[in-house]
Amino acid sequence: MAEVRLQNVWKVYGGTVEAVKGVNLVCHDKEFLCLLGPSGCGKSSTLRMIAGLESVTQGDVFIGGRNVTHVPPKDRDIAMVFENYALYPHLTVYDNIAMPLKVRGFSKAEIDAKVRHAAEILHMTDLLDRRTVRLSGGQKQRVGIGRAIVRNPAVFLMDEPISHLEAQLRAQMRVELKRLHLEVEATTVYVTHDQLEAMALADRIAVMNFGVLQQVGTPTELFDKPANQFVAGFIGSPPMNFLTCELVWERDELFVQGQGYKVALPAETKQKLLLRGKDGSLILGIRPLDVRIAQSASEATPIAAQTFVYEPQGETCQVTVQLDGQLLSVETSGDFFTQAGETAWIGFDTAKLHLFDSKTGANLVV
Amino acid sequence: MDVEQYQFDEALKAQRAIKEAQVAQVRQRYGLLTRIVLYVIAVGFLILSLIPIYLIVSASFKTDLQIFAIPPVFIFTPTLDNYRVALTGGTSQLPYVINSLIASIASTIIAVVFGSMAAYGLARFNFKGKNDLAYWILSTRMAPPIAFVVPMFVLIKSLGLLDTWWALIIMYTGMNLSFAVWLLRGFFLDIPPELEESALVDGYTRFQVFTRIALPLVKPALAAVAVFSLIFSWNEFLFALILTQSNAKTIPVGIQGFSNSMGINWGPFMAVAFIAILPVMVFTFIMQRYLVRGLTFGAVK
Repeated sequence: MAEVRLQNVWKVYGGTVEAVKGVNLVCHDKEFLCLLGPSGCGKSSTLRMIAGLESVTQGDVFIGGRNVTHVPPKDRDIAMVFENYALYPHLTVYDNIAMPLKVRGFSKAEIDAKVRHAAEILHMTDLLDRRTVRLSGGQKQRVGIGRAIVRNPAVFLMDEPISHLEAQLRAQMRVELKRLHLEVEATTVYVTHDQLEAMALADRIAVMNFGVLQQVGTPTELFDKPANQFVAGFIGSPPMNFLTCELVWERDELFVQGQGYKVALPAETKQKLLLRGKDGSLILGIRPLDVRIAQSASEATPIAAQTFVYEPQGETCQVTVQLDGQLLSVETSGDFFTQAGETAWIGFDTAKLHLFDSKTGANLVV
Repeated sequence: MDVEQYQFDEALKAQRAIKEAQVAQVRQRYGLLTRIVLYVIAVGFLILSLIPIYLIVSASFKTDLQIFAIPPVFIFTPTLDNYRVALTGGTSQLPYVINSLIASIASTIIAVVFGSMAAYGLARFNFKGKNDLAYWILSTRMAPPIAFVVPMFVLIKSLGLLDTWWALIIMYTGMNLSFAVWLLRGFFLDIPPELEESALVDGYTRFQVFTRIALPLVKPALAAVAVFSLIFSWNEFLFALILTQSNAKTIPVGIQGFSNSMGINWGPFMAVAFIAILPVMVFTFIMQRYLVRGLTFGAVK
């Protein structure tokens, strides 16, 4: 098992298209690291550079302390699982899983033992003699994973391995993948665009956008302390609300004021803003769960808004309200009821409020 | 998981049942009469295309008298005299058959080997001028051969290769390569790149990926290329006529000369014709099952 380290890694296609820009990233030994970002953000290119399937334009890639920047994929001691399974169509499940061992010259007995062991872990012993064309999507990907674990490599690389599957199966495979990681304890780098998948699986998540690494941290860290507006908006479902606002001093108190609302900031937030010397126009971010909502005004819900859409979801409900022309989504318990057009009273949980620089997008209160 | 497998199998069965039903429906739509008409047309066409071959084969075993007998003789004692004339003595066509075999087999092998490698490179790697290169390769087929017969003659002559196997092998390889490259490139493009990347990670070198993953997957196309190259080289007449005189003369040129040298001596002439048809026919029969798949695969995509 080994640590994966990227040092100032760049990938430039055709001399002009910068897909990955100066990424520094470490995936610790036995860690499950997710590369998360929208499509075209450079996460797949990064993974393919770790695998050696894509050349590194600039920078270095280390696996287990060894510089592998110019080492061919087969000598990097890695295994990769692909989105579209990449199984050899003319072979059976058994031969597919056995392939990496055959290539490396293992004896027949060894191969047999290892393949059967892998099949057992993945619960597909009874499918070994099947041709892979006669398998469902979930099973195909299990074969793909089997081919990866059979060799016991230093690092697992997974490129959206379950994105092709239907929702129900995806949830099931997510559980299996997490369980598998606990069992085989392999260093894993996992690429996905699905933030729920990343949150559920990863020890740590690295969020990328436009080829730039935005933030690396545990799922909780990313959720509670997003480094910038992009991370804040990408993680969490429904996504965080963003409103434009101004900082306003009144006597010794600091307020944020926007269209239709004015909220006093807690002392801690005030201090952070003072330290950074920020002033003027900012972007306020607040998660739907951190907005209180009630049918009448109170100290906790002093702001008047209009219900735009009410969506009951059983245990919870989601309300989209209109606040002076801006839409704001609110999540609250399922017993709350309102109707489109009615007045709803809202309030912000100021301790969980984020303020972002309107130019750089940096989070000013972490 | 068993449930998953069960559902998948059921879905597969349902798909199959639907397809069968559709086929049955189509069959029903065409009544018995339509089908009889279709068969009659098919049989007629078959007879039409087999008559020349029957004439060649039967005449090659007949005496001159029997060949020109009216009404035609269908039952006779076959004689090998024609073949004796065709294959032995001063009029022997055997060296030409051998020349043809060497030129066409060699150029076919070279076209398949280099064609598959070039096609793979064009399909898999990105480099400057890739598309220009591909179209340049295609463009070598655009001019009618007769247009460049004279320049080629001059080139081959100055290389000192006139009337050698090399002249023919080079020409035929050049003509077959563009076809090989373009057909195979399409097939290689159809192989998902992940399949090869996964093999690279599993422990193959790029060349092993080519020989052990990519090539086996395009076998039908390789067969198609081999058959077409062989047929083309075997039948080629123009360049063989211009570039060879006696040493490297091929059988199509041989047949032509055979008829001229002593008027048309029909018996031996037919024997030579049959010998000229035979190798290609045998080879095509052997490759047939790959060939059909190769052609349709390319067409569907």
